[in-house]
Amino acid sequence: MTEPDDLDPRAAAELIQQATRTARRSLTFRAPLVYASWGVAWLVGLGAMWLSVRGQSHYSGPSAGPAILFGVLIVLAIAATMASVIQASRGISGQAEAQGRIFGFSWLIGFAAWFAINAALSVAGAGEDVLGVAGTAGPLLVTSLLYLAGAGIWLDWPMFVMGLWLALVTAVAVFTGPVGVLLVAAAAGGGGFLLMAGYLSWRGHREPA
Amino acid sequence: MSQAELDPVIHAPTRLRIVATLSTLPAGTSLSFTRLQNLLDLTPGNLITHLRKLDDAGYVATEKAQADTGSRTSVHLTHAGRAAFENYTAALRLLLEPAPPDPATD
Repeated sequence: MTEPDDLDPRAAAELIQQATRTARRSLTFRAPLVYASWGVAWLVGLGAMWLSVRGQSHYSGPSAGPAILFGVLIVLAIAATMASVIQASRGISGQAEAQGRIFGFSWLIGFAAWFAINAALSVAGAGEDVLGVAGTAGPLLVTSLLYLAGAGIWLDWPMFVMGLWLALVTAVAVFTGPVGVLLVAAAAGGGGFLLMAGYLSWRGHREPA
Repeated sequence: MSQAELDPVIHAPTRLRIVATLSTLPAGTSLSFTRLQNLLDLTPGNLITHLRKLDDAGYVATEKAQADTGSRTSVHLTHAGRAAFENYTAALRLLLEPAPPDPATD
């Protein structure tokens, strides 16, 4: 193959910019899509659960429909995240691959441990109120800590902001009781994800293609 | 500073794109030949030719891994390659210094 050797510096700089931008776009997961899917899951899922307990004179927990809806939305968000990560990391091997795998498994580990805690609380005789608060706070805290950990692995500031925000939301929401916790987590947690998705999408489009 | 001082191994459009693409991955991470080929939209033969030149200079290293579906070739930038690319971009910046670095035309 022959290469023109009259490549001028400006054209070279442009080639570098184009190549690095294409590589970054293609080799990193589509953050706006992932953040939006989590935002919808929290906002709609927990919002529906809040609507189902809002009118209860004596708190007896959310009805089955909204709880199932929340579960389905969370599974969809996990699927969207994994699909995006797998697509981005195809063909990448070495340290980054191992980091991604450990991070991915951390979600399963964290949520499994939280399910154990929830079951133990029930066995220990916790009432519906306590289970309601813990049931919403647990996933929020696991998600928050994993975003903070991810921010450390990839030096990703939006992830850090999201993790910090979710920790704050959790710490405040748990004091609002089993009904309030759903509303605060849906609005502030889900809303926070959607705001971040919007910001990241805007930032992505602002960069010249 | 003249254009002659730009590293000739890197200063060719295709090799420049290869090195720039690999430089976005953290050290210790490699990219499969197929994925690199798709990203840069090159024919296999073309990519092999340029990778060989970069390999001869010690800028990239390739490894073959036995996967379930057969062997897979991966490429990564060596320490020398990363350093050479940093020197190249620094030299380029010096050449472009008098002009504004990023013309806001797009």
